[in-house]
Amino acid sequence: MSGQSLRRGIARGVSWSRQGEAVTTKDREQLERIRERFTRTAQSFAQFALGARGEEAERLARMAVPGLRDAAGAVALDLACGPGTFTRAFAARVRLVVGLDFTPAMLSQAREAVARAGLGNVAFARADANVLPFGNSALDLAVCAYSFHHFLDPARTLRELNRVLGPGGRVALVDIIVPEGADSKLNNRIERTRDPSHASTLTSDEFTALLEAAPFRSIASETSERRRQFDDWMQIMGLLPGSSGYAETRRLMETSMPGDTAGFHPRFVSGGATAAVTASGAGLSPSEEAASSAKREIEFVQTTLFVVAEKR
Amino acid sequence: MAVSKELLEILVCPVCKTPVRLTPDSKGLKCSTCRRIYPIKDDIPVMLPDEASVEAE
Repeated sequence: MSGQSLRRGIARGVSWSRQGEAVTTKDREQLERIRERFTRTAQSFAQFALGARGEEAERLARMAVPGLRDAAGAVALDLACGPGTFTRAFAARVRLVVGLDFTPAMLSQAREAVARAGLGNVAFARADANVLPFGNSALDLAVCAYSFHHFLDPARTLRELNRVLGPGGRVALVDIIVPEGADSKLNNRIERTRDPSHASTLTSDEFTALLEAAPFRSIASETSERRRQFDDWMQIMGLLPGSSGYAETRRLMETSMPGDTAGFHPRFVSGGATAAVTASGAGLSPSEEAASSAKREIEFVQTTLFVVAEKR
Repeated sequence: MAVSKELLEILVCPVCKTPVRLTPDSKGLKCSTCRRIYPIKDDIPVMLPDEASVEAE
């Protein structure tokens, strides 16, 4: 028996993939973490994403759709569509958008958002990003926004997107990235402490390499920065001051302040005026410093990559 | 609200990639090759092999 058939034949927790890339126990555990997180925070996350990311969705659509072969007749996938922020923007520009997500609570939110927008050319299904329910070359465009950092094997997901896209088909991706020069490990440790369903934030170079390998050819790429309030960011996750998740995430974020090691550009904000990171706690004992910093609001920056690439 | 016809035209079995068909009771999508039936819950097809049932011969 070859190693391959042995793996497929007897391994427990591994099953049914005919594509040569099995779904493992680790994959299933990650999907459950994602489902737990986006079910528990469905309301707060939908409210945030539909509001704060609406303009980004328009921006990505403007980058991806013009120049697409037969855009008016195109069928697009919004992979891990969440509450439908990007689904809406693309539905206004193509023939059909299929929103896929693993979390039923997100699909409910997305369906409502699309109905509110009066869009009739959207359909939804539950699926796993690595095992898509589409044939080879079935689609023209695949959108995936703020989701790659939840994927355990982004290379595999990109190969799967490549498979379902036809010739000339495009991927349009948006995700947070670790800025160049930042400590990727610390950056991801902060993210994972806040959100157990966070897998890994990539760098821009890592995204480029993964796209090349899938293979896709990059057409356009941009980065942008979003300034955020730490407490708001925590609240979206249901983490309030006083909870252990809040305290530990905040401690790590503060640890990254000297030298901005994690690349979040965090800084204390007090009474509308901003205090320079290096000046924080000057002249205070460590305990006084901790007590005073705990009351101060933190602002930080998330760096986002927008990229459109064509199937090769 | 039923499952959109346009979606049904492009959905395939995620395992064997055979186009799926609506079951007679409209409660699922069936793959004629591997005989998996994917449930439709709240009008949304659940295209997950782990949630599919397999029809007996």
